[in-house]
Amino acid sequence: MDFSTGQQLMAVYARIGNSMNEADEIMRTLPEAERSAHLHALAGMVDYVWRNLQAPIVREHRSLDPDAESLQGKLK
Amino acid sequence: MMLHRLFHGALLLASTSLLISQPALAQAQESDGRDILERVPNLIRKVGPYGAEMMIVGTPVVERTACRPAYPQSSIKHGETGTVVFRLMIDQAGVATRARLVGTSGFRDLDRAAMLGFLGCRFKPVVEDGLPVESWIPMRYVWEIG
Repeated sequence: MDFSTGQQLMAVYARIGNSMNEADEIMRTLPEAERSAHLHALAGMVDYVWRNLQAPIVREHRSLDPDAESLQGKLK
Repeated sequence: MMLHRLFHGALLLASTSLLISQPALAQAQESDGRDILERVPNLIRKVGPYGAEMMIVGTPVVERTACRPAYPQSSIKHGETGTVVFRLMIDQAGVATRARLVGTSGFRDLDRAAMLGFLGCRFKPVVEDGLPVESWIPMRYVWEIG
């Protein structure tokens, strides 16, 4: 994938992340059992988006890593 | 909260401090996770899939569900192992609602899988003066390929 396409996709995924945060805020108002199930499912989606959509781009274009600064020197 | 963010950039759970209650924030900032882990003697150990070992630290907190983070397939493939140290925010009803990374395993996928895998899971809430309170609890999750 070329850099420009990767950049565009990462921007879209960031917006998806913002939408998931909106869902997260609403889920916090649910009763316990529903809150638990919905939060767990949403966390799974967050993980899925990272592993399957964002991470492959970051592996190819390190400069697009949104966490680059905070991770510097910490990962193996 | 920034559920989708793991660190300070786009994917993180760390910038949640503005959204947690002040007493909980003060407790979370009292010391780092390692101090808490070393101070509390009671560990509950459970062995999960692929030899992953979980330690929930502190007697007031007991897991009520069988939540187990799944070992990321790519991490298994690349032989990635390590220990993730983090904190979970357990709300008054016992639901894990936030996670904050304290010490990385060295592999982002393992860090994320451990923390995200516990969000939404149910624990016994911490009780103070007879009442359940929202609290940060220290967690350590060991990823091992058996």
